[in-house]
Amino acid sequence: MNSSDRQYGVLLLSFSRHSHQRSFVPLFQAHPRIQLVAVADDDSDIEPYLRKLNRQWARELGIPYVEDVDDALALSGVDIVSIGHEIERRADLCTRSARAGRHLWIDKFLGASVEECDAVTAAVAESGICAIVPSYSYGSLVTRCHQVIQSGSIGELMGVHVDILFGKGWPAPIPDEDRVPFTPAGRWKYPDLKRELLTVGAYSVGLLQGCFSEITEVAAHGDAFFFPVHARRGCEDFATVILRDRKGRTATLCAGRSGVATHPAGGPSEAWLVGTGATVYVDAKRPSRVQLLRDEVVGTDHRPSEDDPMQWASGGAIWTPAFSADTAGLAAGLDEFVQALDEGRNPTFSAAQARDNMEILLAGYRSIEIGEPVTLPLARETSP
Amino acid sequence: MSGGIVVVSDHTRAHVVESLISQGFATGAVVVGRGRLPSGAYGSLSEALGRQPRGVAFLTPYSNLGEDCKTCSAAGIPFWVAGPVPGSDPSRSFSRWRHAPEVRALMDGSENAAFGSPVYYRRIIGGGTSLLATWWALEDGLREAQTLLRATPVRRLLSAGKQGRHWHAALHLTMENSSTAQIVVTPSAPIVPADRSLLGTGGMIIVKGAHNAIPVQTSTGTELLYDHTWPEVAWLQAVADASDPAPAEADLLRYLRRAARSRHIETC
Repeated sequence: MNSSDRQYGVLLLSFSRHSHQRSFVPLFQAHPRIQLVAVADDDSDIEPYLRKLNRQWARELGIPYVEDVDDALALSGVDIVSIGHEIERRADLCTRSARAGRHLWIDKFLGASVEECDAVTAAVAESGICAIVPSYSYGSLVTRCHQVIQSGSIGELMGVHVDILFGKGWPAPIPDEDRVPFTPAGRWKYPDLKRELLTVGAYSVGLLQGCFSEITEVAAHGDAFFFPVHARRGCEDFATVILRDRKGRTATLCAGRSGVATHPAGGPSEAWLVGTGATVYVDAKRPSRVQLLRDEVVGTDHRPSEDDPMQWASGGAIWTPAFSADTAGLAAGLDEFVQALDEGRNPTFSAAQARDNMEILLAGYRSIEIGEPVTLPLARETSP
Repeated sequence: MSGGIVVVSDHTRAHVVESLISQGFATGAVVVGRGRLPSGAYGSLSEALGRQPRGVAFLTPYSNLGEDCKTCSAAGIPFWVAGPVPGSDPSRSFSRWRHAPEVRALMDGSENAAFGSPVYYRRIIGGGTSLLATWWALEDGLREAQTLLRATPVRRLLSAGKQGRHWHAALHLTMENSSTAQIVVTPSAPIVPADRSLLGTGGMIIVKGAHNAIPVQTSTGTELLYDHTWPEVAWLQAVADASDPAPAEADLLRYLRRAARSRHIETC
């Protein structure tokens, strides 16, 4: 069998509500070179809801559920591990999987801290496996921005400005008495919210990483504007960031969850590339069509379902659907991952870049906390 | 051309000068710096002042602007400046930004109760063709942000870079009410109106400069035509007939110089 015929078996490590594993499944199923092998988790260490959910997914997919991760990693036919656990458990699972010689498909973040991300990066390098964090490099916004820059039409790049918002969730007024001081970074898992600078800001930072040299300075502001649950926990639902890179170039971004029905495409996903020769505006959700069908418009119920109030797994109405079905680029990322495995090379967005992405975001959180710009790299609490 | 208003501008606002003259708001123009202005141009400010104009409107900044203002003053001719004058009273008022139809649209939209409370203002505009032009664009953006976010800044962060004559600057504002603004000036000529987005707790108002242009398709390609009311028209009418609104301090110039030199994010 030559490499282009080879099938790759995927082990699905958990279906945490805080991950995108459920979104990865259809991609894996549709790919001609991928086979789903099993669902697994450390069953005795997880919450009851997740035990139930993992089993439910295994049943629906018609594959076994393995109650111990190490046992699952030892299964024959497992080539790739798709990490879909809470951020707090990802570093441990990534490291164990890498040491077992399995390639890694990782959902957005390597770990919960820069030290954890360092550990995963080291484990990936030492084991010689291939790891991809597909969320940042393959979407329409990134690929189109890179095309513009590489075309030379903007001259020398001087700056990048990115606005990405998710038009999701049902905002409500926030009483002053509900507000508590800003909660520093470190805890990411909440039952009812995600930290939005981390969750949404990671996409913009991924774009910047592909355009700039290393980021050296970060300043940010974040707060709860839309959702009382964020205010009560001192967590941001919206944040803005200004950054500089080693060459003195400037970037700004905004990231957040701004509520349903506030944007015709479900939230802006746009960038301005500033060069010496031109400034170019790029919209990830174009080309698109305007689609206003009366029954849909007047009959749309924008209220999120009770079991997904922040719409982590669902979306609102879109009146200007993009032509592309893969604006997020996950299918393109999977294609590149398979190709990288065939060729024995690393994919475009490496584990080290994912570590740097997290470090930039953590600098943003630190800046919000202290009210000052923060210089990178961040100090480590322990040696990597 | 005597008796009317003379405008002083560099070539990047030739389209505005043309519009002012064709609509009868100005009767002549003086070009500063390189480039040319449309017909109706005087050879110098002295020549224009010799025709005893009703007033002089300075549309762009340049190094000798302060001296030229003094010359107008000494000649007893009223003058109006679209932005702050370097080296002069930093609290001198200017209000061109307020007359941009896009800003008025955002103000109208955000006064709707459904808009809720302001959260974020993004403004991206060309004009970074010189240090002083970048400064004016930042000062305009700062004032727009204060008005649209209904608060004054408690923190201002500025980052800037320069490549030859090309300036790029970003001003990050955190306001008293915790809303933020990102004011960006690009090196492009200020021909296209700004891209502006205003986010409130109740929704978003977006005005993209280029999206309101008329695409003109020719045998060789597509051009964008701006059938546009430039803010200078309404500004000139307002300042020539009455006084500007309350002044606000314009102090970003020294921070802009510092940010471009230090290659760091400067608190200002």
